[in-house]
Parts: sequence; C-alpha cells; structure tokens
Amino acid sequence: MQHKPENKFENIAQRIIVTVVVLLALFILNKGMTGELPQVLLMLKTPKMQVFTIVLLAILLEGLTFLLLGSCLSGAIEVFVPGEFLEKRFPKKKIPSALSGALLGIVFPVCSCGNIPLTRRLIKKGVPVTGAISYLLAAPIINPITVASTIMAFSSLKSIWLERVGIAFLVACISGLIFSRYDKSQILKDLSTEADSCSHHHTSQNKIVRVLQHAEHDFFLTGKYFVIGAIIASLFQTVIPRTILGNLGQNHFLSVLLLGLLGMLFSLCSFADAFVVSTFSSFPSVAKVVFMTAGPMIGASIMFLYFGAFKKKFTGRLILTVACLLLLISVTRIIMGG
Amino acid sequence: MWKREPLYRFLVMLIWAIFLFILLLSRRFKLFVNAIYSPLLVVGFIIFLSLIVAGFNKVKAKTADQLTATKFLTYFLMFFPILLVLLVNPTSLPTSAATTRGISTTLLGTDANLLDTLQSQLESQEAFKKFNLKQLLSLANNEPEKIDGLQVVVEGFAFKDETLQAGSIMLVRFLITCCAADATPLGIEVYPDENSNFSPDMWVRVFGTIGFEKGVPVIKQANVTQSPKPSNVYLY
Repeated sequence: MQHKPENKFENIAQRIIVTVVVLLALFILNKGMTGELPQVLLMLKTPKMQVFTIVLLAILLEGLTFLLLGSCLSGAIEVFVPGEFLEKRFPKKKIPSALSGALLGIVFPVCSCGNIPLTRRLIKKGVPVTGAISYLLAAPIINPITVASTIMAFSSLKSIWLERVGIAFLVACISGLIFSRYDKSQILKDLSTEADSCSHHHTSQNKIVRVLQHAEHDFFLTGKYFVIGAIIASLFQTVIPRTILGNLGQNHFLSVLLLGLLGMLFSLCSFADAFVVSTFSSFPSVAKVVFMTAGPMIGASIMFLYFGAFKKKFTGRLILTVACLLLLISVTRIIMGG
Repeated sequence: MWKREPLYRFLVMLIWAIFLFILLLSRRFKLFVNAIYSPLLVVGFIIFLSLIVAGFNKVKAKTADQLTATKFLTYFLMFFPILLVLLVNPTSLPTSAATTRGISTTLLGTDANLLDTLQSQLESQEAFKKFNLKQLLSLANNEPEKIDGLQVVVEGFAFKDETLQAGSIMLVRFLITCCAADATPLGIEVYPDENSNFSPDMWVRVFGTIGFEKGVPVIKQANVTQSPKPSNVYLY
C-alpha cells in the first residue's frame, strides 16, 4: 500500500481501504460507547441476511471445485500438451471448428465455472477462436449431466431437453462464427503479464508443481470475479421474489424477456436450473428454454468470470451477441407458433 | 515481508482449505449444497492443499511481487464470504424464503424409486403411511388414485399467510437439486383438527388423510404436533 500508485484504480483502492477502515472504526467505537453493539450484531442475523449468506455460500461451494478443477485442467494443458498439438489437430475451417467446439462438451463436461479458465488456455494454446467460443458457450448445456437433469425435471414435456440443446448448440455455433475474426490478443486478458509472471514464478522443474502453479494463477485471475458474480446473484435471489412473476407468462414475448433476465440474475447451475424453472407453470416452454440457456451462458456469476478471463470489449460483445441471438431465436419460434 | 502478494494468496487458500475442512468435518456443508456433493468438496479441499504446498516456495522467495491496495481488496473479497458466515452464522433457510420463492403445491417429474416407496408403505402395518413431501407430491401427480383417502404422516414446517383459507396451514419443505440457490419450497395444504398443538414457523409432524381439491392434494382431518427440527432440513 505504500508503493507509488501505478494507476487510477490503485488510487481509488487505497482511498476505499482507508475510508472503510476509518468508518468501521468510528462506527464500532460509537456503538460500543452507547452499548448498542449487541443489537448491531443481531441485525446481521435477520432472515434476509441468512438467505443472502446461505445462497452466496451455496453458489461458491458448488462452483469453487469446478473452478479449481478447470484451473488444474488448464494448467495440465499448459504443461503437458506441446505448443502446436491442439492447433494442428483442431479443425481450422470455421464451420467444422464451430461444430467440433460445440460438441466437445459431450466428452469434456466441465460446468460454466470450470470451462472459462479451460477455454482461456485452449485459445492460448492455439485452438481456433471459433471452436473455443462454441465450446465455452455450449459445454455447460450440451453435456450428459445437464441433459439428464432436464429430462428428469420435465418428464411430462419430453421435447424440452431437445429444444434446450438445439438452441444452445445454435447460439454457441453462431457466436463462435461471429467472433472467428478475433485474434487471441484481442480476447485474452493479461496475456503478456501472464507470460512474464510464469517465467518468474516457476520455482520448480517438477511438472506437477508447474501445473499447480499455473492452476493457482488461473484460479486467482478468475476467482475474485466469481465471488463478485456470486454476491450479485445472491443479492438478486434475496431481494427479488419469484412470486412477482405471477401470471405474467400469458404474454409470450414478455415471458421470454422476463425469464431470460431472471435466468441471468439468478445464475443457477446448469445441472439444477431445469428443476427451478419447471415450477413456473404459467410460462410457455420457449421462455423456460431461454431461462435455461441464458443462465449458464451469460448468468451474473458467469459474466463476471468472463470479465476475469477475457478483455472487457470482447466480453461485452460476447454477452450482447448471446443475448441478441437468444432473443432472436425465441421470437422466431413464437412467431412460427412455438 | 507482510506485504508480499504470494503470502496473501497463500493465506486465502489456507483459510478456504480450513473452512472446507471444518464444513466437511461438521457436516455443515449440507446447509449449503446437496449432500451428494461432499466428494466434490473433498476434491476442492485436496486441490487447495496441493496449491498451498506448490506455492509455499513462492512465499519465501525474495523476488516475490509486492502487494498493492487493489490486490489487497481482491484478496479481502475472496475472504469476505467466510467472514460473512462467521458473523451471520446461518442455521437454515428461514421460513420467509418460502414466501419470496413461491410455494409449489405440484411436482412434475418422477422419482425412480417412487412406486417402490409407495408399495412398501402400502404393505407396512402402520396405520399412517410415512412419506416425505416430495414423495407425496410426486405420487399425487403420478398415482393420484392410489393415495386418495390414504392416511399419511408427513413432516415439515408450518407456514401460514393471508393467501391461505382460514383454518388451514401449509406444510412446507425446501427441495434442493444442487445447492440452496435452487431451493424450491414444496407445500401441501393441511386442515388441522381441534387437537392440534403448534404455531406457525414451527417444525411439525402431520397425521391426516389425503384428499384432492381441484386436482391439488391436501391433508384433511389432520393432527398437527410439534416435532424436532430434522438433522437435514432439505429434501433432495
């Protein structure tokens, strides 16, 4: 903290720390002198705080291991997979690349949290951007576990899992193709810093230790954004009652917008979201599919993870592209009588 | 030395590893995630330990990066959820969460062992057949004729709000698939008899007869009594 600030964020961060520490000290001193400290502690135990804390920890505990596993897998690819191995083997033509990427989730079923560091590493290792983006978006949905949970949740509506997989596949492939002109330097964040830090930090020649050192780097690169995303998703889950949806499902266009937005704000795991949305009985299936696609692709916690791993400009465009494609496909389906 | 960034990374990982270890040891993780996720948490704990061991040399290295205010905020943020748990000390999803999440009185989908459960309960000698709310609502959806008029015993918490008819309560239990973020309150309307002894938000055991009102299951002529809070408050 005593170093000369290198950028405006550093300056702001220093001020935030000082302000928070001073305010907290004054607050505690004041409440301590008036004997109100026990009441303040009780305020932390209100039902809303309980819900917020439980949901926050639930999202973190569920996603943390996947994030760690994804980081380890990413580290293993960095250390064990030779430089041009993936580049040579992955289809280079755009359409085959998009299709292969989108189908990779079937054999590589890593959930949303885990596949972000993995995708970052795949792009770094030379996998075409088209294939990597298609994999990033499709893998949380086009995998056996998500398909099985969707079938189970909608046992009376057998076709919905096909619809979910179909729309996810379409959105993932088209998004991959849209971003095919991007270079990895336009997508990956801290590419040069990472290269520098890697050469500095390898204190061991042991390959396993090197895998773990890369994993640690990837975990801390994305972990903080995951915590921010989880805090925001928990906040929305605490303050937005699901009951406000009421009978809004009568209007198909409105219901697509509502459930799409709710899917993003709630940011549920793709393995579980089908069970939650299956209880929204007044909504049409097209809106339920949007809920189950928007959440795993551009949900609040995932969105922040994207910002951790990828450049802001690219992330903004990716989120906008996915949202527009989802809306376009759903509206087309409604017009065609879905 | 205390300003070295690797040291703070090391501390964050150590605190999370200890936190996971305590959650696993005390089984308190079940408050947040489905019990079947315990192996996943064990894997997370092992990975944290491995990262700690692998990163230990960097903590001692003299060339280590210095900590800036921005990075300090980052590491504090990663510690924040644990700090919050220590301060709030959550015990279970409060009953008010049932209102905000909307109680579901029907349950689509089937449990693979549903019919076996029904059969074994029907064959039992007990006057009141024991089910949990998930089984009961699944049966009401899939085999309504088999449970109509059946005497049952079910547990949950008593919930009362203005949308319910006078003289009735809702028996509620949270159903989770992966974690508490997807918790959905399942409920069945109960008509307690005059011998019932309970108050809202209390954990209760209901003995009564299943009936249907507009296709939705209810428990009639129910005797509602206080019961201890179950060790696991969720249904899966």
